Amino acid sequence: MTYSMRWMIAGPLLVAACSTSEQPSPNPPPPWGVPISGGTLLVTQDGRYAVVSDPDRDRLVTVELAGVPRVVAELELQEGDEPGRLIEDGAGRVHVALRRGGALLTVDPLLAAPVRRAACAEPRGLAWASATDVVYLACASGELMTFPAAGGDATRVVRLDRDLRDVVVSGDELIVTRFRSAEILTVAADGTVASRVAAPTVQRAAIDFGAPPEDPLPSVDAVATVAWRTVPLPTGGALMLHQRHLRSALGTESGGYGKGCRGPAEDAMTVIRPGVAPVAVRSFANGALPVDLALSPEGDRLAVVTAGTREVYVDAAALDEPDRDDCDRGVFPRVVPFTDDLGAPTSVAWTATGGLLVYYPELPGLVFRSGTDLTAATTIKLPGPVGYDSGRALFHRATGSGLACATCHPEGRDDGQVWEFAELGLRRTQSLAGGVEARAPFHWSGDMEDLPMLMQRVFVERMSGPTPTRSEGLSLGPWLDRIPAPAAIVADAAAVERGRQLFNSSALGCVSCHGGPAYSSYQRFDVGTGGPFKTPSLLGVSARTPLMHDGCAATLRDRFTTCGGGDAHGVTSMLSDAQLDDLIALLESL
Amino acid sequence: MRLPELRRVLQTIVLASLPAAGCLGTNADDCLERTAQRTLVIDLPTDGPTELKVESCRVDVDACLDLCRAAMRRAMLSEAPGGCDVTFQAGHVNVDVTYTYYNGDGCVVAGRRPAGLQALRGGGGDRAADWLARAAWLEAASVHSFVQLARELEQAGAPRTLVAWAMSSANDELRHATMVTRLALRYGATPQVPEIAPVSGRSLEALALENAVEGCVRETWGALLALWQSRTALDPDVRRVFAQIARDELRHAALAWAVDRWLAPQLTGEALDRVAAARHVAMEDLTRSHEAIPALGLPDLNAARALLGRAQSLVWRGASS
Repeated sequence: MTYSMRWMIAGPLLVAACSTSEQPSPNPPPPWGVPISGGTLLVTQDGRYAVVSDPDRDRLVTVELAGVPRVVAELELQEGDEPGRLIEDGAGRVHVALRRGGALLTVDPLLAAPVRRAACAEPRGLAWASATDVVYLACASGELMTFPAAGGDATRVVRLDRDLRDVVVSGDELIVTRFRSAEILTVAADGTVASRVAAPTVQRAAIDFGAPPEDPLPSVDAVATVAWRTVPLPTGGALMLHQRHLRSALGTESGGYGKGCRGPAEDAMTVIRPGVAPVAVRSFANGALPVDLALSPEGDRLAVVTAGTREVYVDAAALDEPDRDDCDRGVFPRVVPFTDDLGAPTSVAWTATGGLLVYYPELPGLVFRSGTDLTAATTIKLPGPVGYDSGRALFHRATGSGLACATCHPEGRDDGQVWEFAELGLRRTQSLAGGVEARAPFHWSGDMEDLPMLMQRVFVERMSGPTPTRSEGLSLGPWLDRIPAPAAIVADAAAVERGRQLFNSSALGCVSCHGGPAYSSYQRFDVGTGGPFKTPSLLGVSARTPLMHDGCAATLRDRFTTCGGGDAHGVTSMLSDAQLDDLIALLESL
Repeated sequence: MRLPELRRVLQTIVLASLPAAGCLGTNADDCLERTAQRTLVIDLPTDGPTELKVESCRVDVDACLDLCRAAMRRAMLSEAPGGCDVTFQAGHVNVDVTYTYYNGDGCVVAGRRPAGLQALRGGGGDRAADWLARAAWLEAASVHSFVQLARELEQAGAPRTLVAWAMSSANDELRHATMVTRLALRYGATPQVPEIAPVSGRSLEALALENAVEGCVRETWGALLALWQSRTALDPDVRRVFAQIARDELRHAALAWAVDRWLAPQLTGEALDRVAAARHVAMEDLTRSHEAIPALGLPDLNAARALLGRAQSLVWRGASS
């Protein structure tokens, strides 16, 4: 097929214009791909194979690494399975978490004899315990599951908390991370939570460039959030790659999200060792969306991929080097990252021979870097067409503020943070999952009329991003609308039903604002929480605490007790504790 | 001049200096405009980065700009495409590009230079590439400038905020150096690493003199130029990078003026006169050379004069009076 595309440039402006003989569709292609989750690449222990989970195409691909690397196997999965983390057991079986498929898949490295086992609603992290030959699966829906590696149903299901991310075996214990809060749970052999700690908060210099000089220099808390990836350390414990969000006020003016030395977010690493408090160590990566890291087999080098800046950082694994504020001390990241010009990298792994593999889902392809300085690069093209969605690309692209959309909306949801705006006060990040286009106007106060306005005011102006192209403007909304709401949790169906009756009762009045399939009229109401705010959808509400526009309710129960507007926000003060439990059970099931 | 006011003034200057029509850089006195057309052929299959761009362009015309720019880079053309027509055929892709190139001499590279900065060697390649290589070299040198400034401020007992502000600026410059280096590499030039000779302890007056020249004048001019480039560069990547740089350079310029305010009461009247004179000479120096490179948004002589004239009347002379 032959067709042609043309445009003209007038002065500094790009203007789409007429085309010649055969023209492409004036509209961009249908949405493609899922939000980047990172960490979907495994090199087998014997060094022979690299196994790639391709969450955007619902498939697995195996590349043989011996000699000239080549694709040797491909396994199509069910549509919407979204394969994620992979782990290899002692017998060489590869286990894959199907993030939306709700299952654990077990295959051999050549992807033969796949066995699918029912798991939880939202499988995420995987670990294999050599002593017991079991596979642990951590779920965003809250379960920590144990499966025999050789096959069979789960032998134990422990319900911990929502938003579990990675699981690491450390001696007799398990280290389990939570995604948005970067909280670290230590789970004992009997399944009880032995400890629950936050990753360390550190101090960062706060500089207001428009204000008179202050002495001493003020500082702000930099709080650990968004634990993208946690991997085991050879000597026990784990290394967590995450973001930190600086608790300094944001502005709504142009450049308002880029105040201070590095903007409101930074890449961070925390070392977790058994029996001691986690320690913030110096991060050498300096790009948006640090979605995966890999420790070399010798334990001497670390590689980090930053999807937002499309970079690969490699440096010595100096895990005893404490965190420090590079802005204040004048010591800057010296690592010059690799860039391969293949879109956003999402996964990285070391080979047995000291080479580095980086996965680029859009091509799709693996880049194999070798040599002592890793500068020799070969691209291994994986089967299948190029994946293209300009809205998806825009969502994950770093801006001048150092932020990408996905920095605060990781995986299209939210970071669980409450941000202070100089002009607006406190605002909790809103989740984008479960459909966004129908929610317009946007933001808590509904001041953003539509998505183009929001992109201009927030992405272009506050975040210092590029002006979206026509295609990006058309594609972003439909792509976001494909992100499903978090899975519902139904622990007690009878309680849910009782809660539904309460919710629907005219005495409580919930449905007057939270009616319809999305449980929202999307209208603005003043429900005694400080002004008129948009009514949020209740789909997946239990997965996005803290609640309310200012995040005052840490839990669903807090919403009905410590804050939330009282009886101006649904008449619930007369409910008994049991009735409140039922209402909460319903909300968790939405 | 404090940051909010400086930002407002510089943005006003740029807006006031932009031509009413979209066409820039056509003054026959200082640059010769030429239009060229080339058909660039990409054989398929091709390398990974090019394949990604080919296939993205195939499904979305808005993605074709990346392909056209990549095709021009492969052909060692550093200009930005002015028009582009992509045709997919069996076994290859035709990329028909039109572009404008300019002839001209001189050099305007803005920004803060550290004391002890050794001269740049070589050069002589493509003009846009050369300019970007020099800019990347200077951005890297500016890292040292600000580290040096922070140390000297600390030794002089400056407020902690000024010291941290300087360190923060050094971090900005590191980011700029990375961004401009990427652009230079894309245009086919490899920037050199700056060599900085050691600088011994200096007096407050020496610090004030350097700050007046390198900060109050050159950083302010750098911010102004970056703002201009962010609005006028034909290459959208250049616009994007310099929009980020402009935002930071504004802060750096404001830092220079803050340092100036802090130092002034500590200097004698004669020393203040020498600082003002140095600032004046630095202003004059900016008008002695210029280079119009539309791909990078570098202004022609008339536009450069307009920018400088307005900066002199609204920023520098106002500050020195």
